[in-house]
Amino acid sequence: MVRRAGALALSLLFATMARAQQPQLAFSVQPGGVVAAALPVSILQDATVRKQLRSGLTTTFLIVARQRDTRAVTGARIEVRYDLWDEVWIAQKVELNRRGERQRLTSLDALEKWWRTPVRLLSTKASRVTVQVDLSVLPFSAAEEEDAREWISKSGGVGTEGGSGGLVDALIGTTLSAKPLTSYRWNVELALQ
Amino acid sequence: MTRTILIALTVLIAAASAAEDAPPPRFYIERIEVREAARVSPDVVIAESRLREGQEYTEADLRDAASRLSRLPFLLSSEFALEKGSERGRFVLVVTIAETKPFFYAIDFRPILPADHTVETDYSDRIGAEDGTGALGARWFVGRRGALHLALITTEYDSAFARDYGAVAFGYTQYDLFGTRAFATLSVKQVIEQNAGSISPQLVVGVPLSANQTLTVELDQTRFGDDVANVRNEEFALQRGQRIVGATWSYNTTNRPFLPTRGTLVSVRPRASWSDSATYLYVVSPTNPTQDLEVVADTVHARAAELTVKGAQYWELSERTSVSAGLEGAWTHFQAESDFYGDRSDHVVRVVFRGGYSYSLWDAARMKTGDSRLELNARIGSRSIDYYDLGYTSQQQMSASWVRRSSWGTLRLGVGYAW
Repeated sequence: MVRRAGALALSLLFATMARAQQPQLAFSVQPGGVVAAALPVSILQDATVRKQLRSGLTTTFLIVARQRDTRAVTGARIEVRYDLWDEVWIAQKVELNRRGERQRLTSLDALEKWWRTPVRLLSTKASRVTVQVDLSVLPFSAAEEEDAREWISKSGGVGTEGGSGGLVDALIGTTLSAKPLTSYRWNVELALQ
Repeated sequence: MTRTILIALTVLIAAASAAEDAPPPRFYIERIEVREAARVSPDVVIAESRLREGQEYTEADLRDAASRLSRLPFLLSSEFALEKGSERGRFVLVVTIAETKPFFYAIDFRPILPADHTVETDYSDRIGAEDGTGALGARWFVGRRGALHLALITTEYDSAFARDYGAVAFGYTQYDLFGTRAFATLSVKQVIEQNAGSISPQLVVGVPLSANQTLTVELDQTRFGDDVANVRNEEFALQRGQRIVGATWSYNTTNRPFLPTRGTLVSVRPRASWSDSATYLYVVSPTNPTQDLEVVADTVHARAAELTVKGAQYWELSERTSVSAGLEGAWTHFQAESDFYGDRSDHVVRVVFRGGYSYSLWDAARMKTGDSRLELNARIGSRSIDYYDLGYTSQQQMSASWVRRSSWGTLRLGVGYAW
């Protein structure tokens, strides 16, 4: 659970929505200048997304945050799968500097509550940042077979030991994954006080 | 979009903690159910997915299968979902498909204007384009694993290797051959010419080596129409036939059969051709060079061996925009035995670079029902321009087109310039 830092208040100067009908992101600032975003539940309620969520296969939500000034690019990945036999939602976040525990959520309400937990997107020392946030909804998981994992490790020079396994997963998920089911984009300017 | 995803995921290196991942879930698929199949045989869809009932699969396996189905010419899209099976831990894999119509077309209507008469236009300038500039026909699935087709087809071989033709072809494809997931297509075709030749056969056998690799073997016999030329009150029989034997290994991770926007396509194709022709020549009289040219009969037996290697990569820059780059190299050895000229042989080395840009007029959701996009294609390379003289030239070509794929087929309208 991400704890909202009370000492740091964030004000959203304005959010320039790329599309008028885009659901709103809610930003918060955590210790260390980490900016997190609470994703709107309406994304989960989108008909296309809901259909994929009910498929019994993994739905991957890939979030990319681009800071305009520094051109720094960070991101997060959320994977959700409905276990048809246990009737639970298995959800996991991989976010900035942190890999969340795999969650077993027993209801859609619990999933939506978990979904609202802010996702750590970027860290900054600046008092003001302009960010473009892209969210892509992808069918299937980014976790892959062992042979593909090894292949990427060798060809990309990325080791599988220690903490680099996430990158291996991520690369495989990127290179082979299916076309996004849908995508969202937000352009926001944040003032961090 | 892919680049964006790549960048972001690379950054996620920092996010990967030492915590071990849980092993990827495996799903025991006790049954595969194909839904919304009106004309397409569900057994063919299952066979082409390379999945089998009664086996366990990871999501990666299922995703590869979905990608493979997305490349089938008779499907517009496919969606995978699981349902509970007969007992705990067992699943039914539901594949919901969107079919194309039984009638199909693949028409490339781009007038490509040459700078002069020595420049040959090239309709295979798009990356991944196969031999042939067009097709028009119909496909009917018969039985559980069979399909009949009747089509007008055209070819576009390199001129040093074989002669191009247009033909009417009727054939049958058997999928899941002997339960091996291989397929075989046997066609008979008649070349469209003023004097139609006899019917000639073509056999293509494809063996999927993995979800992304296929080995295809091709045997193609073509009989062109016999004719008689009356020159100076003398009749000369004109006959021509050619045979092509070849194999193609391909690695294909692209997302679509005709208009890919991401993925890799690599192919290696060795093949050989034999042709025999009876014709006539105007020659200088060996006994009296000052006389008018003589007309003499000639027969030519030609053999050609060709090795073609193609590689192409497609990148999606955003949901609508993609670019592509490709390289094609081909070596063709040509040998001809002429009654008049004697034996001669030569070889052609052809190198072609290709680049492409495409912008989709539709968003991702609408693309399930087809495609509408603008394309820019460019090629630069060397190419033989004359069958017998084996002249070569460097040639560039650019074209702009609008492409529409629907359940009926793919139509390309545009214009190009070659110089």
